[in-house]
Amino acid sequence: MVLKVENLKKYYGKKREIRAVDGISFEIQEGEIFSLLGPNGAGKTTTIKCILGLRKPTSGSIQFSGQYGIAYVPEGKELYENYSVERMIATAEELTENFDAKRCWKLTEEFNIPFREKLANLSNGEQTLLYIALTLSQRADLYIFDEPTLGLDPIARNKVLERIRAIPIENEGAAVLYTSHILSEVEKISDKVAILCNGKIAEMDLLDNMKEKFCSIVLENVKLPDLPFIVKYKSTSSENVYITYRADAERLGFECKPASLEMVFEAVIMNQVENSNKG
Amino acid sequence: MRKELYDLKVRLLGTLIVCIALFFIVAPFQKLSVSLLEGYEKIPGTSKIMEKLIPQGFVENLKEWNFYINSQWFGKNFGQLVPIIGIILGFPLFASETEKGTIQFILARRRRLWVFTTKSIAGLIALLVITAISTLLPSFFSIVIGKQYNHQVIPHFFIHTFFGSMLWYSTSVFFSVIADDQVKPLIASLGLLAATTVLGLLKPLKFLNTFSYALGTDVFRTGKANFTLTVWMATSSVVILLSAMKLFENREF
Amino acid sequence: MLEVINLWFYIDFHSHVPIYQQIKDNIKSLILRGTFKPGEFIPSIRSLAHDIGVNLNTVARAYKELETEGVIRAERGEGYVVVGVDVENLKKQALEELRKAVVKCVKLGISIEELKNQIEEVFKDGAQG
Repeated sequence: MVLKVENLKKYYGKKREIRAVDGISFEIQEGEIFSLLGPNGAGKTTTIKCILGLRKPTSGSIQFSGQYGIAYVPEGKELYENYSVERMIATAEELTENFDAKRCWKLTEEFNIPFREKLANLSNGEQTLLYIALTLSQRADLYIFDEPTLGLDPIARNKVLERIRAIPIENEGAAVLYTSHILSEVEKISDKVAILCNGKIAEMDLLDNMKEKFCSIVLENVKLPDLPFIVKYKSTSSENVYITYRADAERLGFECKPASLEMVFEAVIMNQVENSNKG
Repeated sequence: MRKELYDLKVRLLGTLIVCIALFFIVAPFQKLSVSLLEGYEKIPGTSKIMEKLIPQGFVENLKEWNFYINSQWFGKNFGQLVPIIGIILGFPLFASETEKGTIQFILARRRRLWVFTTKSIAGLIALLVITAISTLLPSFFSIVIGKQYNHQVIPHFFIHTFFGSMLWYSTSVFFSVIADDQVKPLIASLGLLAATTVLGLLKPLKFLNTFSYALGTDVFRTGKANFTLTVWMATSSVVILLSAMKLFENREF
Repeated sequence: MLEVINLWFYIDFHSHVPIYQQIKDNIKSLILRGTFKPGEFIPSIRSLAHDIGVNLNTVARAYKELETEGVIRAERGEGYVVVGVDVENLKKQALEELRKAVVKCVKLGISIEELKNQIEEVFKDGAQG
């Protein structure tokens, strides 16, 4: 186990009325790529900042175990704009333990970053790639990426995703914590996914299990069966499509049709929003 | 530390150039100042006003090199800059990283205590360089142009300029730690400097005026640094820096 | 002489079929086609993960399940060796699927003659369809 988060809470405001993170628990194992998936404002960045100690949790515990530490690409990818790429890499080398400058130079070349240029003259995409190159050149036990592909073109995005996927292959025992609101990316590289909504984990499982766990069923306009999880996904004039647990649907003899992750993602979030509105 | 010194480079060189330039506006013009003041005294009618404005014997004293350079450099031009130099070096140290978000880059790599000490010490080194060079200028200049100068006062003036600027350096570091942008710590420090100076004009609040220490008035009068006040300045600076450190360790980013 | 085996197979990340399942199916078919022969090593978890662009854990899960099914076995410290695909079991499964398909056909009113024709045609073409 690399990271264990237990019942993490982070409230803001004078009366602690803003619940950015509201009782989150999860574990990340060695070699695992773990994704926090959720709409904007779900609490992904706050969770990460608590893990890194940039914010102090209101309550809950965070245990990290490893010999190298945590590498981190923040959402904003802020670097020193008045530095040249060369100086930025030298600065990273000065400040980072277990930093491989040679590897960093190779990655900058691979990402086509002009290395004599000042950072202020780089495009946003190039700055993001540089931040990622700096982070990938660090030996860590846990690599945290907060929306790493934001603002990248499709080719650069795929390069980055492949690099992130390779982290546990290239670094024995290393794990990845990754946040995104783009489902197709998460689908491509994650082992485990937690769907975050309103500061709570609405669903968490191995990605492969999630595909097997849910299915869609088509019902004519009849009374809904009483199931622990059933969310209307789509409706036509005479029929409704629902997402539900496969086990429940099979038990009741419904015809199970596959549900794509998009459908599951949407259904899980709709369900969570509905529940929190009720409560 | 290399990074911090690089970040300070522009401010360090800029401040140094201003100080040196200022020195060469002041130092070579002893004769001009004296003759100007003497000229005023000769104009009929003005002499009475001048007598009130300028203490008796002042113009005579100005003819003496030690009096001229010490009063005009430490007691006036450079002396007035001393607290401001401290503020200039301190205010962006943390606030610029918080404002630009680069603080996350450092904090993901180093412990907070390390970040705080490295930054504060780098700033102090810059402060030391500027105050030392500026304090030594009268000494060098006197040797070069072959004037008689009492070099023994230099270490005493140095103590006053260094600790006088360190107090305001610490204050601006404190504001820099708690601020989200760079403008606030600059304005807060300058505002506090102005407020304490104005309030220090009132007799019972005289101790608030940090300028009388920074200008080295005691060195000018007695030839020696004021030990008690120096201890006060140094302790307050350290206390302010330590509380800034405490705040930095607990602050959220 | 080095024997070059084309091991690469395509993984559909977007599919509702779990990725570990896709890996299992592909390995089994590679064994059935004779690309991997009993007693031979299959690629290590690490190298397969790298080659087909899939996470380590996912490949590990597929291999573990193939091991419990008796398709491969772990050679201590060296990797995984092909045991063989239980052909009888696969035949049983295939017949089961055929049965389901036949039931569907009968429900749709397809005659036995039509079904027989279909089967004969497949055999004539050499089971390529």
